[in-house]
Amino acid sequence: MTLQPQWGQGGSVVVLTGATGYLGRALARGFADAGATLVLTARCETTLARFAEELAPCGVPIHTVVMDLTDPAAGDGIVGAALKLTGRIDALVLNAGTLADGLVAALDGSDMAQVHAVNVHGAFGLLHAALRPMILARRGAVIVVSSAAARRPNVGQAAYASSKAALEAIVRVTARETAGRGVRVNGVAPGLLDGGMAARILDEARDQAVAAIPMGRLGRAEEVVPTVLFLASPMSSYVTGQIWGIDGGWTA
Amino acid sequence: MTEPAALNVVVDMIRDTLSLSGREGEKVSSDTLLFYHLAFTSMDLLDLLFRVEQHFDIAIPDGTLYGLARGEMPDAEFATDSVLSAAGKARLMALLNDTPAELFPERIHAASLPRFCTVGAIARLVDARLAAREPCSS
Repeated sequence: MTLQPQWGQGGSVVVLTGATGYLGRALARGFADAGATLVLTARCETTLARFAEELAPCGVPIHTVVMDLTDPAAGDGIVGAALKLTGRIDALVLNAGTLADGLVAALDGSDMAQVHAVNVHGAFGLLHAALRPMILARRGAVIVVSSAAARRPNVGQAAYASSKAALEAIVRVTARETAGRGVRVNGVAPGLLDGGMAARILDEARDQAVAAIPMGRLGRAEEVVPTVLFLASPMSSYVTGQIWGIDGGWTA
Repeated sequence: MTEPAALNVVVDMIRDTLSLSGREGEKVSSDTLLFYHLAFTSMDLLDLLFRVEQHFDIAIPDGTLYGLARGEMPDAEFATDSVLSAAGKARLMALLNDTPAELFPERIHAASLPRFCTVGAIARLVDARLAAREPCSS
């Protein structure tokens, strides 16, 4: 069995949200290296344009769509732009996310709402819009970036963990609904990564957190990429509705 | 009754939807009921509507059937708490007059209206949307 051609994303069109974040950058590079045509989205036009320039040497088509996922029109806007630019969407990677930590007894309701606005409602809006062209095409892969916190939340993570748990439920429901239409929906649940949001989560508890990870170290964004590539590829043709933990054994 | 212009295309699309679950051999005609005869699921219906919208370049938003059945009747008279009144049920039955009367239950929830559609009703719905889209010729 020759793996390489099937792992590759040559010719596939991949829409990726949160493309300029720590994990988003690694995912974009991974898909670009695998030959995918990219439609990258993020909120900041300047940062997104600069990152697209950094990826240019990869030699794959790279498009950018500046969008705030809390905009109710974002889902239709991104999908419409992607279809106009590329004609189809083969994979959608819902990576954008935010967090607001705080003890439940002290957490501001507006913080909870904001986290869910981005992580749940923003992702849902784009998923909702992308399913139509995928169902019509009878093919598509959706990969939702969840978090180990959905299964094993820490103190102070009520907003973030609940948003990721909601996303995981959406993954399972959508997978059941679209399985007969050639559309697969899966999630990845990274543990603590050595960069990005985890740096904010850890704070002074970093050493304690690392001690709780069986592998004894934080993960790297590059270690999440292969699983996402796999879930976007035909190699995972019989996989749907699953959440893949990538956490050094933290949730084992 | 004259066959709806969109009937043949809609029948082909229904056959395509059925083929996804290995139901190629089902008889599909104008008076076939999607949910009763063909065991359509809500996902099958959505799939069909996506295809119809794409093929004919029309939009059939949620509530289209409800709006057609209600017509000029005030919403409060047509349904209460999303359950059709007796008058509302009569209007629905008049709209879907090729569906056997005994299939309409006493209590009809607004969200369940597509369940009473024949293939012909879907084709008529498409015809209506196409007619609404086309500009008057005179």
